[in-house]
Amino acid sequence: MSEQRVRVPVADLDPVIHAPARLAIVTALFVVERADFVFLQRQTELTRGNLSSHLSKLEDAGYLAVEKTFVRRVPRTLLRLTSAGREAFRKYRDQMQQALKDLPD
Amino acid sequence: MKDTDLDRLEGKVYREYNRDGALEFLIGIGFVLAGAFVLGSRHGSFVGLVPIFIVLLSRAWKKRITYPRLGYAEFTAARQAGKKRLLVLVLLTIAAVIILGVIGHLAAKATFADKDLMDLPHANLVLGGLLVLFVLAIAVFRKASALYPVVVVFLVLVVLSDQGYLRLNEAILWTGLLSLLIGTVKLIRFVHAHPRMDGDAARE
Repeated sequence: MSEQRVRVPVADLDPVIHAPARLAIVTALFVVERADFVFLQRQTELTRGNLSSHLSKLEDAGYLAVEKTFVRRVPRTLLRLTSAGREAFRKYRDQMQQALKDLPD
Repeated sequence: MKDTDLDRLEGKVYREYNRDGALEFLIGIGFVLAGAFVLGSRHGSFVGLVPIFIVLLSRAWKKRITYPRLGYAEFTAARQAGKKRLLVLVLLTIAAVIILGVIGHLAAKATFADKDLMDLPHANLVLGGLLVLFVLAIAVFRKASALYPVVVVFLVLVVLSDQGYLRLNEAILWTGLLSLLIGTVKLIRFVHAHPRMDGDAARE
């Protein structure tokens, strides 16, 4: 008789997205096309340094793209989720929904 | 989290950008300018330029007041509806230019001739009604519920002007003042609720 392994449903969750601060960032960026730093600060209520640090982690994971543009010679930095980032968020969302569904009453 | 929840979240964030009072304030400015300074003067036809001035002013408003406080974001739904939205906005602006231009032209003629604003029967109702529809279209299109009382008051004033109780430019002026008041209140609330971010962050 084979032993049935019990899998913890949250074990497969993406650790890059799972952190609360980064989850807030990814959720905020998921509903927009692209946004600037101030927008993210407002939506996530993170400090400037904290936000920068989490953005770097998301960028390193390939989930975030930083676009530097000029508007009338004034530099503007816009942030957007890459297709990998959007896909990772969708996957995370589905896994989380499943995990919550599988929880015993 | 369902997609509808995300849509709701996007809608919530998007609506926050409409709480800055810009729409009401700028429509108010436009109507006050049209009603008080241009209509009824010799240069009535130039009132058609007011909507163009308002469009330019709205861009400056977003840049100076809204974005430094809420940040800049491009919305997915807005992008999807971008071309349609742009077309409707252009059509609305052209309609406003034409309607105001016609009213201004007739008003200027009336000034020269020293007679009533327009001789056509129910001309106030027709032209004012078109302006009411213009404001209503903006309110519906931009989901700006604060503009609905303005539309109602404007309609009442247009009907009164058609009955001869006041001139059409006075109806436009009073409507503009009401809209300006609503916009100012919204602006004050917005500025209090969203203090400007520090300089560096705002420039990012």
